[in-house]
Amino acid sequence: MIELTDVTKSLNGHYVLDHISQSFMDGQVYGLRGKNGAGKTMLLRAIAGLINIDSGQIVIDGRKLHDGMDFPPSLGILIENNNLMPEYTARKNLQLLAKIKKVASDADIDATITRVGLDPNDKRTVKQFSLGMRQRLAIAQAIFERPELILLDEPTNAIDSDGVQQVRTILLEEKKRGATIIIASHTAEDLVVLTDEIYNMAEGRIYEQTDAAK
Amino acid sequence: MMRRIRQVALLLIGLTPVIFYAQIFEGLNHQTVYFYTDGLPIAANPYLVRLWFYPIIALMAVEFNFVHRRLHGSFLQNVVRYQTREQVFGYLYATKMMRQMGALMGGLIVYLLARVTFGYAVWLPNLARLTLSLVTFLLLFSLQFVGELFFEPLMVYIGLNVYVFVSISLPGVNAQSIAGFARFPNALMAIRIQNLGLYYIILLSLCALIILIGRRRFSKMDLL
Repeated sequence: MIELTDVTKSLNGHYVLDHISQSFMDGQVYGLRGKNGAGKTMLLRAIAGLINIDSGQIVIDGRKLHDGMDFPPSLGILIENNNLMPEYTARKNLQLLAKIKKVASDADIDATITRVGLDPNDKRTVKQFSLGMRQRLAIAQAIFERPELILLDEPTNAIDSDGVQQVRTILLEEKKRGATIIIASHTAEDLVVLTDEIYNMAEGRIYEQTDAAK
Repeated sequence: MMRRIRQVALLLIGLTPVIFYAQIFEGLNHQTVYFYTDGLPIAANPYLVRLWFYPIIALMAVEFNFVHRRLHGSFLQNVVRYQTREQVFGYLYATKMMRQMGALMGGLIVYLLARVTFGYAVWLPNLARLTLSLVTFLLLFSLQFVGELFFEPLMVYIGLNVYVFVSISLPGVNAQSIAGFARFPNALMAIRIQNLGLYYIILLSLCALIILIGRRRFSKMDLL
């Protein structure tokens, strides 16, 4: 469970996160919706430990972030760009990442690449991939270690409608496994398809909750 | 493609003067290697000092903008896979230092091979001086690494190069004076330093201090 209590962050004298208090339960898929600059990505970065908040606290499974724990211990992340090494193949990219935590095997890597609709034996490097393929691989890197918390920023960017359906299937499988998933997107359609609950954001604040089923 | 072109250009900028220097410099003292082991003697021609300086420019450009690229590009998902920021800082620092020190050692090997090729006698480096020179490079690269956590990489790069050039252009270093320590890049030419032991302590202490400052800065940084 993730609990945010009165979290604030300002940059250049402007609140990018404005007194946010919110809980995210285990095994649920949440959506954050809002225009560019609403604070969605910044909220994901705060939960990921990538930014230091000015006040408030973020507690993940009973442990306070930035208090002996700088990053959530089991986290998969996709933020903004396709952060992958262009000169390596899909498999090599994931193998390099796997060396840090050493929790995923080569078989896990191949299975995840297949799950997102790519070929683990593809010899092409990432720079030869289309945008959609890169996005699929970026999703693969976020989930291949079976993290308990998955943060995805605009995960369906550059992915066609079949691909969106595939992402939906993957996220449902991850949810079934018990992962907590938070997705940020500026398009309502994707969030309705992908999430259980949607929170609308503007000017660094969460101001409304929508049940995705409605 | 641009990356490859930049790497080849750096290699040429770095190695051409190394090879040229290896060819023209006859040496002043018997059994002295000079260059990045002993450095140049005080009596060396000022033009040689300038020539000697170019590989430093190239070494400082190895992995230019490293910290920013690693923290804002393809490294972000690596960052969150570590447990603490200290670990990330340690990994980044070790990677950058290994690459720059590796390039330095590569340049030294090229220099020695070139000396053999041009028919000079090649002596084993004086280990105490060689190590002092290497520690000085380590401090210089550490300053660059930590400087990039505070300022624009280009500003740090230019500032440090000017600092090194001015420092090594001023001979007569008194190792026991503040001014002598402030001009620590002189120790790149280890032969100029009289009190090696004291200089080692000072350089290593400065290095530790720089790392601590960097680590503290990194723990407070927003990785945007």
